[in-house]
Amino acid sequence: MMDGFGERGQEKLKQAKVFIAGAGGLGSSISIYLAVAGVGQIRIVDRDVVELSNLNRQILHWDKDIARGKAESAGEKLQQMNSDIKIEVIAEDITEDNILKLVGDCQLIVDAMDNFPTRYLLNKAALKRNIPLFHGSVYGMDGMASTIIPGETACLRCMFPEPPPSATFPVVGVTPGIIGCIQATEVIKHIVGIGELLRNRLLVWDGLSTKFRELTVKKDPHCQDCGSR
Amino acid sequence: MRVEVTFFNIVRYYTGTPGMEVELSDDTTLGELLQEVGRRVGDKLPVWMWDSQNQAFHRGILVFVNNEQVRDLAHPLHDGSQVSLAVSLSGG
Repeated sequence: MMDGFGERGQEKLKQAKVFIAGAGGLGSSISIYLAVAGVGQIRIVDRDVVELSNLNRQILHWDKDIARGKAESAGEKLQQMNSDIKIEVIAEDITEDNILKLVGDCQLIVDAMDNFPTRYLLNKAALKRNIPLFHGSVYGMDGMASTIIPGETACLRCMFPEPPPSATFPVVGVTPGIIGCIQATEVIKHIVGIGELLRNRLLVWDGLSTKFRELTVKKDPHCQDCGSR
Repeated sequence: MRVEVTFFNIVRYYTGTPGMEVELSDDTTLGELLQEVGRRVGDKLPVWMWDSQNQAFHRGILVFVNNEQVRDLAHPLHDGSQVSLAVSLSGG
């Protein structure tokens, strides 16, 4: 019915093991769509607790979950969405010391974080393990997404050599929904082996004008994270 | 020559405009164009974007020429070049 997918593609999804860093705005939409797509094993890491201000966009968490751990809340909903897959939740901070242990034998990393220092850790882990990193980020009604293939594409540090300052950011709920769906699409395509990924392509979403723009990013030979590869 | 400058995401929020058209001499480089842009909108930008002392954009500003990332400020521009500025987003 769809070239390149079919039963074989579905089996590939079933055998896949993915690591999602964050169960917030991006993490909610990403994990929902990967769970219902039948990704066999999903590991989600988030140390935060659900707050009222989260509920406009973190659709895995509901009124009744306020004050509950996000990882636990996410795991409950995802397992109910698809009881045939394995959901593993970890309520821990992602640090330089534990990230490789947390990623474990997952075959790819999904960036659903809310800060750049941790994103850079994900980047380093992806490079170290030689596994893809699916980046997404949002602000207001703007978002970005790109797929990083170590050794082949620009890494996250190539694209973004300096982090933005840490600050509380506004987010309209639909924005992580859109960007998260793009990330989930990239993950599915990668696992199944179909279509074209956002390799060296930074997809920029402007929700106010409802426009996508595609920008070409380039490996930086002097990149502190991947420059020697 | 005429160069079209586009501001993305948070850059646009601060400048208050989606972009501008800049008229420059024919042999203008990217660095010179950015200095002119900074001269026009730098006072609206936060210190982590625009270094007013050195009249330069900080390294965290992503620069694209005709939709391709460019890091070399000596990159030559041409009539009709499209230069875009964006920053990384932290939210998730």
